[in-house]
Amino acid sequence: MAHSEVDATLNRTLGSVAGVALLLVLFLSAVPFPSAAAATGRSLPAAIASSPVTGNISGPTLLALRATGAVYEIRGSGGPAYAANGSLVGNVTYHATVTGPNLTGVSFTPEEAALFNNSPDRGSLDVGNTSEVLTIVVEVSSAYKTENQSINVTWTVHVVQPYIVRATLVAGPNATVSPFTVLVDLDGVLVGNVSIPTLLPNESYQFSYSYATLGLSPGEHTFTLYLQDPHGLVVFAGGATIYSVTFNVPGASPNYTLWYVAGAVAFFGTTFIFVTRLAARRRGQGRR
Amino acid sequence: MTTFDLTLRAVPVDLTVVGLPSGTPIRVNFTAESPTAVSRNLTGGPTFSLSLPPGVYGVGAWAVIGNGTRVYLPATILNTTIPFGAVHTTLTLIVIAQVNSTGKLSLPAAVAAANVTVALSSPLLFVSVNGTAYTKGFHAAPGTYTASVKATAGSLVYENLTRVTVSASGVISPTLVLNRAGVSVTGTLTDPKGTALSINTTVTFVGPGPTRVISNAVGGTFSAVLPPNSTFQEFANATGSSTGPNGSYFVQWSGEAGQTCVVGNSASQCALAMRGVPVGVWLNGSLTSPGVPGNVSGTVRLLGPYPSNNVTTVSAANGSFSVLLSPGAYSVYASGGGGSEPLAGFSSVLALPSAAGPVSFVLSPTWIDTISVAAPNATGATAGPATVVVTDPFGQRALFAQVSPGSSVPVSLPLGTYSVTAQANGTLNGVASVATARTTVVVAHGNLGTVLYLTVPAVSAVTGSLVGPTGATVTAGGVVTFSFSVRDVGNVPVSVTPVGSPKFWSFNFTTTSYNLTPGGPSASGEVRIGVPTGTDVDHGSVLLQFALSNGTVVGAVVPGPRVNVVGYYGVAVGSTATAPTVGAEAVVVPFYVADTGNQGETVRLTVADAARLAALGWNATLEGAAGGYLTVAMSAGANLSEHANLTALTSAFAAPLSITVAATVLNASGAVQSSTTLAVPLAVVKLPSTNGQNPLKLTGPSIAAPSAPLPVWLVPLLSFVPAIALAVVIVTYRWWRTRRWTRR
Repeated sequence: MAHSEVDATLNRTLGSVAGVALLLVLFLSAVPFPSAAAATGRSLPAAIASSPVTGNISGPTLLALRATGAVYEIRGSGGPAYAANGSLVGNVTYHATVTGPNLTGVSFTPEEAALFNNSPDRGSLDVGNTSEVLTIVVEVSSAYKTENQSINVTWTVHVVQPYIVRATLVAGPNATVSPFTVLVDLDGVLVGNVSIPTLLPNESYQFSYSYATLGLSPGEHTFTLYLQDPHGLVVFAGGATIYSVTFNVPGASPNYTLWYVAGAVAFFGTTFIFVTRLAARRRGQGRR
Repeated sequence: MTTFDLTLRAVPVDLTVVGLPSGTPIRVNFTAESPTAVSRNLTGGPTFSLSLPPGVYGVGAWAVIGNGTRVYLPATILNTTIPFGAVHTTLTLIVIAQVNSTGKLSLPAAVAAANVTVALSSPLLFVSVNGTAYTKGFHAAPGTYTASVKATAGSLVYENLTRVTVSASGVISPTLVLNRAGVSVTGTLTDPKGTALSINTTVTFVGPGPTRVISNAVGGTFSAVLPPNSTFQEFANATGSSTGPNGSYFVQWSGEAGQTCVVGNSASQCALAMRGVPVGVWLNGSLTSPGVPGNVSGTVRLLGPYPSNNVTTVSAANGSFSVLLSPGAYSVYASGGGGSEPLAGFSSVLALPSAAGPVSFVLSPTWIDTISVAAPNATGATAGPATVVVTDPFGQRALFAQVSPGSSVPVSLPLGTYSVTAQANGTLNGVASVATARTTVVVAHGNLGTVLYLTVPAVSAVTGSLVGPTGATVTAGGVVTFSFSVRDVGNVPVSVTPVGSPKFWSFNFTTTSYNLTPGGPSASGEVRIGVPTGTDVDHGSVLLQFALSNGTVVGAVVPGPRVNVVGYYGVAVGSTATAPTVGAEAVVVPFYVADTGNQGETVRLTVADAARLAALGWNATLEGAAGGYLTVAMSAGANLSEHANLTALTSAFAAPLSITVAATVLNASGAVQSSTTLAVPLAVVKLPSTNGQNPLKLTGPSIAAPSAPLPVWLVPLLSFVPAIALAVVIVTYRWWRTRRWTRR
């Protein structure tokens, strides 16, 4: 069963103003950022002298806290730096900045670099210890002699607290274990792998796998570790083929507002009935 | 700017022509051969006086007597240089009476006279003409010559060497016959060590007759065409340069006496060994002293050239000196000034052709150190005349030879600290030894006396030699016996103990201690040598040595005994302590192979169960193997680490569990072999846990234990509790009011 994201929460929040607002926020955060996608078209127009400068950036949109070295490819083309035959005659450069609520520990390197003949330049993003949404703003400039054109492109990155699976692997005493790969499933779906280096006999290795996600659906989920080659000479001890850990993600509380309103209406209705009947009785006594 | 015209000053030149009949005029030609020289022609003589500007000239002469049948010519053009600054030049030109000479040639059909070279050489004259001139007429002095005739026809070189005579009328006899092939001879000039000398000179071959052939050596290589089956003496002289530890100098090279070149029937090689003598260098200098006007008379002692201890003493009676020295570096000790105010100084000088100009040695005021040598006072020790060396703080030395014990030598020394040593031939206990003495002298104020007490150091030394067999063959673990003698070759009595080596062998000597005296009789002994089991064929040298009581080895049996150990082969393979390296589909299993024999061997390694492993889905090879096996060369006792590689052939395979490696010694034709089965384990990876908890640890957002939800009916029920309670209160209230109303 595939794990589901938080969109299901919507079903329990209808009828509540606060719930509707929360739903709106979560919905906006779950969809694939149409504004950013529009600014970062996936294909580059042909580089001709009359074409405007274009640029794009691509890379991961989801990073774990304290992630380092996330690679982003930046491309730039067009503008005055390119001649009519498409050859590069000037300079195409980019300048990258990162915006966000908390930029402590956040950096993008190199901040500036030249872009040659549509070959991408690779930038590296380090993020801090705060869950937040960062925006990489890249200004691509095309210059030739006195002419200069530039364009800004952006890329949104969500920094989230990841799920981290840790374990200690210990090699047996009889053999040196060549490098092997441990695969990681989440709820039966392969989500990643970890390469284990050579382990000498009895050597231990701290296994760690980080899974960044915008959220998991409420309920139970299971991370499973297993060997890439289950029939090879590298085996888990005791005949085990997998190791797994199951955890629970709590759901939102039920909405009892209608019952609270109904109770209040009943209370005040009872009071109203009693008061009106009492007043009618008193008016009847006065006529007697 | 002013321009001055500079004109070379002509130099007076006196030329005398020798060999000309009295009253015979001669025409002399001065031919300019440099830019400043001026050509001149003179007639008369036999003496000429003229002025010529400096430069290089070629001087020739020509005199004719009679109707031209006899002319007087120099043997060669005289080349001379009138140097700049010269004030006068005297030249002598020898002319030789020559007649128009003709000879006859007998040539092969394929050789034209114009292609023949005829060279006539004598100690007086050398003439080389072609065959046409030889037969038509040329000038030569009457006399006897060596005629060398050569001609080339295709690849064949004709040669003849013979004696001819030029008569007074110019007839040359006998006829030169050119009917045989000559032999090409090449050679090199070498120094006494056999190293080729790169010098240019003339090599003279003197053969029977005598006949003479001259060859030019260029860069130390010469060649000539000589008659076959002949023997020639070789002669050469040349001047070359050589480089010593302190610079370059000239060497006069001369061919070693008695060298011959034996010419066979085909091309021959003839080396000519040369002996070089350094060309002496004149050293001119003077002695001076601060405060003393002019030069100071004295004596200069030159020690060298380095590292020689030869002393050259030269007197500088008027304060200057000039001496011819072997090229090199010298320590200089100069003294002078007289007895009332002695002066001296140490210095160094380079006597080399490149060294600049005269040198000046500065003498300083001194005190006189009377250095005396005392004979050794040890019993049985004697010493002869000593060589005393005084060394100044800068390492410059003054050497005084033949200072007999009991005598002294006064040495004037400037202020300073000096090392003074003495060395003499001596004896101790009748054994020739070297007596030495050393002291340090500080010259500060006043004359002083230094006594060098010679001592003859005691030398403990013995030597031994084998008596009887000098070698034996034994199997490892066996015993061999050798006899030997030992004697004292030092200068003191010694008591020595015989010891053997290698240390891990056993050596049983019949005599465990020898008391020996210098020059005394030899002692004899016997040793039983036990060769341990497993000893290598290539074991180390067997030494029988003699040690003093303190363990110092003072001699040995030379040459030592030769022990030949019988060889055998052996091989072993097995697992090592290193664990196999196991991957999902590949395994590397280490193992060792050892040479358990006592000699080197070549071992072939194979995977013995490769077929079984292939059936299980594995390709089994040995690392570095070629053609299915691995061949290794091993020395005795060697232990090599090798690896067996297992690689899965497909993704479907069974665990190999083991691999068997076999080793065969090729030298033993398969008679010696070994094998081992190596375990191939699975690589087990554990995820240990503590207290039975899940070994996987998970952290992340929104992780909580699952909570039990409230019953669905509870909140709706509770939401109506206030209304229900109110209704109950109202009903109760109404009931209570109704009842009260009823009681009224």
